[in-house]
This record gives sequence, structure tokens and C-alpha cells, in this order.
Amino acid sequence: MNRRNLYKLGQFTSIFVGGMLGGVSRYEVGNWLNGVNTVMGTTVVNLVGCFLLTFTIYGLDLNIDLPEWEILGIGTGFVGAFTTFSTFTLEFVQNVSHDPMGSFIFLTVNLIGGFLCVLFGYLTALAMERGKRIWK
Amino acid sequence: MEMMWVALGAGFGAVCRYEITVLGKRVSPVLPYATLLINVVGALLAGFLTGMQVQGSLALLLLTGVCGGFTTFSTFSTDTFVLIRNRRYLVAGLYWFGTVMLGIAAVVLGFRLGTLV
Repeated sequence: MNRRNLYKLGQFTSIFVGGMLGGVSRYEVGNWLNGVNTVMGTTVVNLVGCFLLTFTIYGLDLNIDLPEWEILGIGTGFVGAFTTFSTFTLEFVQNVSHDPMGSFIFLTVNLIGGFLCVLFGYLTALAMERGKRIWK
Repeated sequence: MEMMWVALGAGFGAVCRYEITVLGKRVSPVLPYATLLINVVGALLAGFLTGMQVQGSLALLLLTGVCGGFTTFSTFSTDTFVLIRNRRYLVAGLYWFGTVMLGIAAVVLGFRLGTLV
């Protein structure tokens, strides 16, 4: 196997393993919160994942010099598979006819909340970067 | 055992998503066409499987696993953030609103198709 193929295989493996862990974590959070409400699990994974993604991209990447395969494994693999767009739209469509109000709240909380969590993850990463410079 | 189905599906979904994203970057390094396509196709598939009333381990593998791991809400939100940061406000708004609208339409269409099978 040549160097390029070996590199590609490494990328695939880290994304696959990250994806497995992300998917199982999403499933477990869903099981854990399903007693409360079915859309609760989706909302929690999506909001937490949004924070984690920008925090990973901007924070870990800039602050700690992680190799590319680890960023791919954590960001693309784990966080990408942890959050879900398909279940989000599916749950909206399934609930909108019998609970229109609740469904629109679910939609809004995910969309606006997700965006705010992305912003918060980014700002946390920047604050960490600044904090590190002061300490030095 | 339940977890293994979810894990296999999600791992596979994540690798597919990565491959499509890499191809999408070649089409346009700035605009997130790939994420849009991934989320809409994933929503279509999820609607289809639900319409077919797929249950048990198969649902865990394909719906929770593959569809869940393939589509991504975090990249969708981050793409919007990056577009706004690059001052492409109109594109950001269209992408944000467009993904949700197309995603919902795809679920409905997929569901209809699934009930026909």
C-alpha cells in the first residue's frame, strides 16, 4: 500500500470510529431523555453539538496542535454524527399536525439555539486563546 | 446489540458525508453545496424509511444510524455562521432558510414515496 492510500485509510478510520461513537452517544442521550419528550433528545444533541463543533474547529485546532486525523475524527466524525438534521426535520413533520405550537417552538429552539451555540463555541475558543496568551 | 447497529450505520454515514463534502469543496470552496445536498438527501431517506414503517434493528441501522450519522445539524449551523462572518448575509439567509424548507419538503416527499412501496 502506498503512502497516499495509507493516509486515506487513516482518515476513513478516524471518521468511521468518531461517527460510531457520535451515533451511539446520540442514541443514548435520546433513550435517556425520551421519558421527558421525544424531541428533547434531538434538541439537546443538536445544541451541544453546535457548541462542540466551533469549539473543536477554532479552539482545539488553534490552541492545541492536534494532527489532522484527530480533528477529522472529533469534528467530522463524532460531532457530525452526534447531531442530526434528518431526525430534526422528521420529528417536526410527524408532530406538526397534532401539535403545531410545540413543533414550531422545537423548530425555532433548534435553529436559533443552534446558531447561538455555534457563536458561543467560537467565543469560548477565542477566550481560551486570549487566556493562554495572558498566562505566558 | 442495539448499539452495534446504530454504531455501524452512523460510522458509515459519517464517512459518506466526508467523501461528499470533499467533492463539494472542489465544486465550490466557499459555498456549502455539499452539506445542503447531504441534509436534504438524508431527510428524504429518513422520510422514506418512516413511510415504509421500517422497525427494529433495521430502523436502528438505517434510520438512527445511517441517516442520523450522514446528516448533520452542527455543520449546517456552522456553515451559516461562517457565511455571516464572511459578510455574505444574503447567501447565509438563503442557505439557512432553504435547507430547512427543502429538508421538510424532502421528509414529506420521502414519506409519501415510502407508503407507496
